[in-house]
Amino acid sequence: MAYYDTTSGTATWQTWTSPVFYYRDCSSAWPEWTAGATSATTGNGTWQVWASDTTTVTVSVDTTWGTWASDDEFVEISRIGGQLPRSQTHAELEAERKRRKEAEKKAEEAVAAQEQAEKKAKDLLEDLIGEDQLKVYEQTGRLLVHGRKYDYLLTKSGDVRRFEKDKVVDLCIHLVDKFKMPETDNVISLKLLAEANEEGFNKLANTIRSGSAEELPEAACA
Amino acid sequence: MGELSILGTKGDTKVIWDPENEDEVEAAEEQFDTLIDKGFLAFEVKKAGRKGKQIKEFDPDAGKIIMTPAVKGG
Repeated sequence: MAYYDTTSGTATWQTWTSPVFYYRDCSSAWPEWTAGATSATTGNGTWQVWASDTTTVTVSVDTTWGTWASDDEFVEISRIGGQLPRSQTHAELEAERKRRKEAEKKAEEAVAAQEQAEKKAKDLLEDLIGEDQLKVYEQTGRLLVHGRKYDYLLTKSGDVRRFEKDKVVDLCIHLVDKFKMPETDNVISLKLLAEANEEGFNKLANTIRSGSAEELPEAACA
Repeated sequence: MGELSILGTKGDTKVIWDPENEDEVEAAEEQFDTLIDKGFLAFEVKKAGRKGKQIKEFDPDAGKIIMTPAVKGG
């Protein structure tokens, strides 16, 4: 069904596009409506241009609007040629608004669940390293782990650096589903493996590069 | 009491058992074995600051066990 509005001029255009504005970039609404047209003007002046300078549409601004918003499926606009599809009906816009709102709600719930999972992971890490060490981890995003042979620096973002006697080695090693897991669970897993099975840890890890501490930039393991 | 923490996408899930309760021990062991078959790693852990050890068989007297999904090189 049509969405009637009896205002005219710039206000009409803004009123007409405002429901669309919530769901789409306003500037994209006009090209969509006028798809196939040979020319069009965008912006607030659109309505005036649309309603004037026409040889075949002789109606006034208000009646032009009424024609546009009538139940016809198409409104013929001779000035720019071709037939323009009507915009979405009010009911369609409302349905789209509901869909978007539900999607936003789901996204918010996903973020909250992710934060909750990360909090649980930090609680577990605290059991392993104690309150003081956890504070350092939270402040720096780094955890120093002592293996039987080497020391390792693990970061929350997933970087791993091994410290040897005269060089440092950047490694790539992580949980299989790293990106689905809380970041701190990745740190916990690597810490446990490096401490309990250092040989196995180093066999699994791929070496990205090695050199002196001064030579290597920040570690990076995707 | 024994505690098994299983790392997952929503944080860890805990399974708790009484070492003297056969049914609870059996349920925890079954869970442990299922996850090991799926490639999970198991670590018996101690209190803060003490290194744990990797285990492949369930120990009802282990105290606390953490199971993590598989780890791989990137």
